[in-house]
Amino acid sequence: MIWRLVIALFLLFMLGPILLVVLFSFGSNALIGFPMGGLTLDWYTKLAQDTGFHSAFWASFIVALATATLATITGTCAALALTKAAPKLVRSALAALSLPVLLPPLVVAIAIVVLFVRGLGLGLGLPVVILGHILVAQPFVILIVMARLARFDQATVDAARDLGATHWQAFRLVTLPQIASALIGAALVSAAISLDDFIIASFTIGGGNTISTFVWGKMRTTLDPSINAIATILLVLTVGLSALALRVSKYKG
Amino acid sequence: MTSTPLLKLSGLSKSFGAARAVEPLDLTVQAGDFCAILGPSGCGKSTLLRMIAGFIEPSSGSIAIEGRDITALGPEKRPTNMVFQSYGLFPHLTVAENVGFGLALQKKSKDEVSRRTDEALRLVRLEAFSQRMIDRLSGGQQQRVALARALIMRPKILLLDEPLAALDLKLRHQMQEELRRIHQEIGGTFIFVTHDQSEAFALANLVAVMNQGRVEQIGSPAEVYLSPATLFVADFVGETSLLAGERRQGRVTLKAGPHFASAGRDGPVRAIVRPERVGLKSDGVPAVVTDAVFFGASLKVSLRLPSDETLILRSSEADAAARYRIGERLAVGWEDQQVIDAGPG
Ligand SMILES: Nc1ncnc2c1ncn2[C@@H]1O[C@H](COP(=O)(O)OP(=O)(O)OP(=O)(O)O)[C@@H](O)[C@H]1O
Ligand SMILES: [Mg+2]
Repeated sequence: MIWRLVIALFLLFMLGPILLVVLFSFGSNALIGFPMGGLTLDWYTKLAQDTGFHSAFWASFIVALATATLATITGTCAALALTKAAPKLVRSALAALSLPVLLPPLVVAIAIVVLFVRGLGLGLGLPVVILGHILVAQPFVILIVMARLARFDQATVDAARDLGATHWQAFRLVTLPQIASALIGAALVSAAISLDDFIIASFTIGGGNTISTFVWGKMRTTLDPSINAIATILLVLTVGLSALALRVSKYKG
Repeated sequence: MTSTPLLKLSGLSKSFGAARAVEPLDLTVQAGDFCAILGPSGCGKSTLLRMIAGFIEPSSGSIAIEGRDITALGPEKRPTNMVFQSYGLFPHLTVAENVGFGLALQKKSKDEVSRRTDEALRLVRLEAFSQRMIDRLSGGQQQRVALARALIMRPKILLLDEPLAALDLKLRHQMQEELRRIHQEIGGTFIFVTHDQSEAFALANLVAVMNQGRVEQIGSPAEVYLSPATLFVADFVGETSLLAGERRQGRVTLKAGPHFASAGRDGPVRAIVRPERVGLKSDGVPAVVTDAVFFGASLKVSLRLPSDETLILRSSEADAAARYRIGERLAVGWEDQQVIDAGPG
């Protein structure tokens, strides 16, 4: 009994703020607080008319999509290469690859600016944001894909080759379908990391906004419930994507 | 029939770094052969088979099929197909899709693929399972799918890497029967790897015994069993007893006592004694029964000789169990032994 109560309180503590955000995004009161007034979609309409939000939304969308795609490709290649490497090399490579996960995002952001912008002379902007996000997301992809490959039966690839498949055919027809759900998972995690990031984006975007820099800007000027609306949209997006991914990967790899 | 053998390995070897997995070897397999590569774990059997299949590049030597050198070809270009020890079935495909995989790659028509898939599934008696996913099959059924998937390609040589090792004893015997039947039915050439000598003898007409990367003997099961070329073969094949002795001027004296005429070099020898040749003999060697295990049709008895060596006896007489009780003191003898020169020690 007491444990149920503890769990209930814990859930409330965890999910309460999120529920409040969703709730307030539908409240007509301009002040965030109770009573919240009647139900309304005003904040969503307001967002829909906000050109600043439009561009931030599309920027985030493009960055997340590009990060998810590119980080999944590069991370998968790295994971495939690592499974063929000597165990000792794998350990040190994994340690090196995990560094960006452990480093403070601020340091990563500064490093990216120093390398890509100062060093290589790339202008600030979305491409640099994407590069930064790939840097952060890729280790997760590698770890997820390597975990899948660890219980992958290499004999299936050998069998495909034996039956006449080229390297590429064996990869496409045998390896890929088996690890597809891990790749989708990795892509989703990458997209989430990208959508989630504020620090790297704010350092490297130059002009314009992603959703997170847009929210930050808004928080400093007006604290109105349209922020809750944005949060709710993000929530629906990520949860929806995950649900979709689970459905798509009908073979549980 | 031409005189070119179906498969000819010449000086084939493989080293992993400094470690020799397979010493240079020659092996010739004729069309229609059922060849067993027999040896203990780690002796290089899989390495040899995978070199023939094209998965491992040999360190030296060549592989020719029907006189054509295929050493440099990748596995997808070789007229061989393999049944893997762990099967390597595609878990994301159905049984029928697994079996048809190779033909689909060859861009054969849908009709042909499905017709030959049915045919192959019938050969391994799995017609009823064609739409199953792999993980819904038993081990023996998976084994048959792997077999069908390789056979459908009509390989010149079918390679099998310990195909029955993962099955329980009963299923293993059943699958041995199936393999023999299929081999006769399609008239193909099979090379299979095993560490189980009874399996090798049950199936093969040609046995290559390997030890630590070397082929110690190649021959028919009878040759390998009855006249082993080396001590290792004698010891590994069958339940023979090896008794130490010394040859002087055409006469061997065993440590255990008996002596007999045997031509050859002077020096240490081993006498190979087959368990079914051993029996009670009133003026024989004194022995103590140390163990007796009943194996259905026969009793396997371990005897300790005065030389402290163990002699194995097999008896299928009805009163064997009463006669060979543990601790019993007997006098035993045997008919003809084979003598092999042994190195010092
Ligand atoms: N890729 C490799 N790198 C280094 N050594 C290897 C490699 N593959 C095999 N070996 C070594 O070569 C030797 C022969 O291996 P192989 O797999 O051919 O043995 P096997 O006779 O098939 O044994 P088992 O009956 O256990 O399958 C072993 O000592 C093994 O450790
Ligand atoms: Mg092996």
